[in-house]
Amino acid sequence: MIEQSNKEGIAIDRSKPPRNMPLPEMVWPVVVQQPIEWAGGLLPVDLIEGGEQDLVRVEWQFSAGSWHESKPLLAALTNRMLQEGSVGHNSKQIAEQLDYYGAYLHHEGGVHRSMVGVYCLGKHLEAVLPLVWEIIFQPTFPEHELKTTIQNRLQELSVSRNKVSVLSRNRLMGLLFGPQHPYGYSTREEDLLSVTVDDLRAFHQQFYTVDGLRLVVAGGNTHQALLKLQRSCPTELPKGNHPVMSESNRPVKPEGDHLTTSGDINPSFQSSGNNSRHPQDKSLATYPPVDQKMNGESATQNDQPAHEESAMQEDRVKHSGQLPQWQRVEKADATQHALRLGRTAPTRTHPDYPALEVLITLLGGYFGSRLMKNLREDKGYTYGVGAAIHSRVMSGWISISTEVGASVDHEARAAIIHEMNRLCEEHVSLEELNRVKAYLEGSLRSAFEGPFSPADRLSDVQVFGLDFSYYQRYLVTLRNIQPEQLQALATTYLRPETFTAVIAGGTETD
Amino acid sequence: MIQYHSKQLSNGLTVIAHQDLRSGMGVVNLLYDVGSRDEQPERTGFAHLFEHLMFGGSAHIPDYDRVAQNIGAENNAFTSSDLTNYYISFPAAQLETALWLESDRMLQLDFNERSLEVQRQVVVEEYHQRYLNQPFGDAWLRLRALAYREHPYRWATIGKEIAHIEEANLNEVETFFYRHYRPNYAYLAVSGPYEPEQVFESVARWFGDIPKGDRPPRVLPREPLPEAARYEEVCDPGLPADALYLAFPMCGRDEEGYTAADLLSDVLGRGRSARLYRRLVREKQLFGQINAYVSGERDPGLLVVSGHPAEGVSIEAATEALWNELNALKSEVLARDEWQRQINQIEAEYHFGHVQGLNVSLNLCYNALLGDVEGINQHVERYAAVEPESIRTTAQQILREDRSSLLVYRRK
Repeated sequence: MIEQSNKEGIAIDRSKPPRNMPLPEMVWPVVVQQPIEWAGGLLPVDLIEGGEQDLVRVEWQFSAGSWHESKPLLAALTNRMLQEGSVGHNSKQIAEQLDYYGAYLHHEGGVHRSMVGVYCLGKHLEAVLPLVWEIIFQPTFPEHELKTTIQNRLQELSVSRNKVSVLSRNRLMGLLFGPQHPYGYSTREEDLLSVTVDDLRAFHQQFYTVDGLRLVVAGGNTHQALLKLQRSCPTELPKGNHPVMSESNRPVKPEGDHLTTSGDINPSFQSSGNNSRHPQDKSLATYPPVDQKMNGESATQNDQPAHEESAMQEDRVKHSGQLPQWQRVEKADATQHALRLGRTAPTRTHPDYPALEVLITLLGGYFGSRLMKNLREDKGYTYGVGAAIHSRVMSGWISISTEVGASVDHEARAAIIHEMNRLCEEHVSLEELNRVKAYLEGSLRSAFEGPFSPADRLSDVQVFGLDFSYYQRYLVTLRNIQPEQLQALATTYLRPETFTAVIAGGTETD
Repeated sequence: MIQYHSKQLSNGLTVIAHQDLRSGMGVVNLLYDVGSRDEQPERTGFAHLFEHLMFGGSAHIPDYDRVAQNIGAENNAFTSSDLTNYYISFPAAQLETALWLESDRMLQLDFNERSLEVQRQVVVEEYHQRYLNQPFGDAWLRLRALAYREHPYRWATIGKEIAHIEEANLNEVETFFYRHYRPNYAYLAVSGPYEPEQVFESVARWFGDIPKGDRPPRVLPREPLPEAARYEEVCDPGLPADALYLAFPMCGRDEEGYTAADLLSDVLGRGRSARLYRRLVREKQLFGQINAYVSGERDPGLLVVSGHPAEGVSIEAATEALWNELNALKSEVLARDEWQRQINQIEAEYHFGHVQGLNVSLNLCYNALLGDVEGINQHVERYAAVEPESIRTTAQQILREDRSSLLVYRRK
């Protein structure tokens, strides 16, 4: 129905921006906790309702990450192999059944958690759930399927090793946490080849149990979904028999003075299928945090954070004026070099974390950041540059990353260091601070749209024992933070000499 | 059903309003009917470079991003062979500012040498990062040049060569703007908790006085069908794996057979149960990875199968096995189950794809560009109307060796 408009072209003043409107109070999604019953007791389920459509996602989360494995890759491969065979269905049947119902299985073998989830239309949920329960709790890990999966992984690995971004990330994480540590590890051929089906079966038996199992249902009609989940729940489920593994019984690279992780480190270099103007922002700093221990002292109030890893302490020496030592991963034919700097940082539970999110966003977390302005919009050295702060249970880390033309490599490094120093030495202007506050509040609101994104935000903090109140506290921090606090934080966490720096591409003679 | 209202301003701007009362965010999506197919052969990559320049300031707004950030907005843009799309999402209360931003740069871009200079360099780095400094990153640059001889689809959106980008000048920028960035070549959708009348009123206020353009009708050469199979090989011992890209000419999106051809590519490549993955990766272990897809363009495009032969499997053996699978679809009629599997996946993907207002507004604009906004609500039924038998005839028509273009990356 196309009709002609008749109220057009009224003279309008374009010289002044329309009024920046006050925003309504933020509405937080409600999380309903409603366990389902099985023969052995109750399973906790979080329900997050949202969206008009009959769409649903169910997730099963286990304490079954690489943190828990006795040798490398067991968590990742166990998780990946669940869909390659179960007691009642082979790999092909599983794929065909899920596709038949338009159900999309997503799965992730993480560091502290592993997860299996299914997205589907509500009308097919009942048909799909029994199969999902089966592949999660009764997988068979067929030998020939594992062999195929490992062969394919080897090929992927060799392709990804040709990317300077991957090379730089792997090296940096290894340097920060130690290459054997779950946070610093990156996949090695020999480790892939040494994994057997018996390893996977043992890992599965020990960790895919109801102990620590958390279910999350998000979507348009979660109460219906819950009923279906209840009806499909097997009568027998494995109870845990593993000793509870403390999060702290695994030392972080004892000899190192830095810690950090792998996986999702690079915030903003996702390429879209098309030629975008700039890399898609995955707004790293977008979904901040707050903390159970708000009474703990913070760097801006006190010289020594109350509950910090010992590694932090060394970083608090006086400004030395030294530059980080760049370590090189050689790749002679690279036309661009990947630059990556990183250091350990507080975790999400630390009082400084929310403010650090703001600081890192200023530095490199959005399109208007200092680094983007300097390296891209002023100098044209790069398609994109970003900084991010991440946290796992035992440590957080800050990273800065970019890919720059090989010929401007030295200038780009200097520009990054310059922007770090500037945040340490000068107050941010109120104009810039207000802009970043507005941007982050917009991001936060956007992150709480629909059912699925808030469910992910909940999972992000739940692993730390936090809930949505974390984001509420973050918002308070965001709205009240001052230039002095940011500068104090920068001198604590952004001094260049406290960073480990890696360059991938070129040779030592460059 | 996606509800919407649409209207055309007297300057030709198509406006579509999608009301979403649950959302606290608004989206303005603005699609321009111009892409890399509108470029001159000696100035390829220009439409995309231009997209970058659209952020370099406009008549009354020196810094687009700064204003956007001040209202808590997120924005980006992309360019393809057929179109250039800009979007901004923001807390719903800030609609006026978003429209101010978009209308000002449609009214008049600030043409300046400095923005051009920097964005030329940025795009050159983008060229390196995404196409040259990645293994197989140049595949589509090569494949297009191999599969097309006449049509502008023979170059990629990023441009045929870096020199074209480096040589772009300010005069060309200004000419391009006034030729293509006019309201009668644009489609604007607003999604969010707004009454349609409010949207129409605001959009008319901000865009109504922008003069329409008068570009000559688009005349593009029709790509002749290849008379014989084409082949290109890249030999490089430094490659991490072998790779092959097999491309077949197919009809354009506006044509009758498009849906069947797209469904054919789904049967080959969509989901973990798809034929090529199931048989060649998981069952026979001849490929480490394999995909099938259509390029999806408006003029006649390509159906492409690409993959990495498994370690130790020759390209010849892999290609032969691939052809066996392709040929099978020319003789057998798809079983109902397999057909239904595809339709159900399309249905689920359609609904999950429209959870975000951003995608809804983009697809509203895209369907308007294709000629009928209502197409957005006919997507699933269009695919469900393709009978298994016509997938077979489509396979016979498209999957022809004598019209194919094969690009191979060989390590040794």
